[in-house]
Amino acid sequence: MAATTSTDMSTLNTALDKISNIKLKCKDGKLVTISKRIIRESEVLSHNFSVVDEVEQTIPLPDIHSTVMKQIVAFYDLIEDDSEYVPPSKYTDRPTKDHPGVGFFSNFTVEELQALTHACGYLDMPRLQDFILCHMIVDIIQDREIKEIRERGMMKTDYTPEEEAEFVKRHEAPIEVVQPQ
Amino acid sequence: MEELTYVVEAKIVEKTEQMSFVHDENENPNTMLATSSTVLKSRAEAIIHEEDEDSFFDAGSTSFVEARKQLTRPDYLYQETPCATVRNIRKRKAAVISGESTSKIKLTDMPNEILNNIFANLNRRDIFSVGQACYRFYNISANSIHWRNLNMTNKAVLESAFHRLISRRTQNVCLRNGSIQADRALFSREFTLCCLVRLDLTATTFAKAEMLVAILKRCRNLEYLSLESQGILPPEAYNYIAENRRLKLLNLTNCKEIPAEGLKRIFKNCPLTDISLNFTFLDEAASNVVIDYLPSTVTRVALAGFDNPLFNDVSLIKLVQRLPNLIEFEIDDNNTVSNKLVTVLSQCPNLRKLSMSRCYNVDPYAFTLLRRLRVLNIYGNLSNTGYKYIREQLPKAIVNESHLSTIGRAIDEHHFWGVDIADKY
Repeated sequence: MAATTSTDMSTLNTALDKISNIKLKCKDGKLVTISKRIIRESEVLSHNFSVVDEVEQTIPLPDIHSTVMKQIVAFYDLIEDDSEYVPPSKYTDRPTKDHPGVGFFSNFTVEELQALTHACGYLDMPRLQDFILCHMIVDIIQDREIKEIRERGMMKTDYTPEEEAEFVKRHEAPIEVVQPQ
Repeated sequence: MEELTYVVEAKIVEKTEQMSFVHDENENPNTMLATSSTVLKSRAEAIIHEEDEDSFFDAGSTSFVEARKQLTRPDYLYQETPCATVRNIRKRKAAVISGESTSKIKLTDMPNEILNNIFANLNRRDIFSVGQACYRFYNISANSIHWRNLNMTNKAVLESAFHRLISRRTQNVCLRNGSIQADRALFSREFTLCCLVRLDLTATTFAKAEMLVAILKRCRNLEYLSLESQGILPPEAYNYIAENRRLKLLNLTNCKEIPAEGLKRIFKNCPLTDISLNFTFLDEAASNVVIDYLPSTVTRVALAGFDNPLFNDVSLIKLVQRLPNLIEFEIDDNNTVSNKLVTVLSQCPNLRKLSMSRCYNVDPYAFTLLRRLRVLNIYGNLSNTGYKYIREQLPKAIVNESHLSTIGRAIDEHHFWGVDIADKY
């Protein structure tokens, strides 16, 4: 399994070296120039790279708007780490708010974030997913009461009050016990 | 002497006061900690002036608090997860940091795969509250990938809730030092089979003995099982343990009145490699089963803590010669064994660790024959000069490494018999 992926990567790299400027043809017909790093990180783009037009050197991408793609390009300009992305295993290893990659998304509106999450889910980019979802949205949920989660996640409950009481009763989270130290 | 104890008591009182400050939810814990430490300082100084003599405490600094931090209990049971107070402080810290931003996002518009990805980064408690938000989120949060490892050390859980949790294809459960509480709404204990592979019920308290049997009844795939300190188990529990045909590790430390038939069935069905029977006080029939039927795949055996005349030189030599792969052997507190066993053990090709603390019938010279060992625990057998001599004679071995048994126990939550079950947080 590992051998096949490594050969895939090497063939991709040799193919990438031949072409200088790669452009994406977005949903609204505009062209966006992207770096080779983005193609390497995205499963979908590296797969679509095989259907690249040799003359115009563009990859068709009919599902994503050009403004969203430009934001992704801007994000990758901020992060200079060129190595292969490995997700952090511990909570403490997660980047903090001071990290430029996390701060980049903090000023986005709800609609922009929405479009971005859809885009990175479509393109299958683990680094981008982790930065938007796991470091930003997790902060919205973590250590909150249910009321707060509903308010910040902008959602309404479809439980009736009786059902909710039943839920708390049935799925009672393990209670913490203080040990005599 | 009385004055000295008075000083110590005064400090402990101040320490508890300080802890109660930390408990306060509305206050910032850091500032309260600082103020309480200054109060502590001034009070300690006052005590010292009253004493009017040199004390061996450096009471002017916070060294007592530091010392308290350093002086943790040696028992491995209490070192796993932080207790509730520590977690409460952490919770507030995290809430304060992220409370500055008021970012919102429409979570309900996201596809299920992405939500799954988000939830994989949450700890168990947050997954519970997410499931409470709405129906769709409940279904996503019940996905088995979030429940593969369950670390509930030091926690109490309702019986019905526990069964519902392990029904989510959970593989590794640690309920060390926890407790399972009775649920009045639960009418029958008939459940379908579960997928548990590693189960640690060390020192878990059960409201009724049937609860433990009901859990064991659901398991067929167990590979690692610890039932340490469970006391007297019903005999059918051992029959259910024997149903796990891949069981490698079994820890029955402190389980009393183990039936010979159940033990025999376990030994016949399970390819055991590690077995701990410390402090089990086996009766005659069970002892004979251990000697005659212990599978030859076993590499680590613990038979310490009880002086059983049936585990004498003849029977134990018979046992050791049946186990070609023996790596660790514990036979502490046995007064019937003598030099003959030690000479046989010195010829075991793979033996690396031996515990023979307080075996007073063994001539100390025999220990110098154990040239292949890496660890040798012989507490209470020799004087200090004797240990020095043994260390010179066995340069490769560590003499008197630890009082505690290591067989059948997971090291910590990061090394839970080969998996990391530390909660994300």
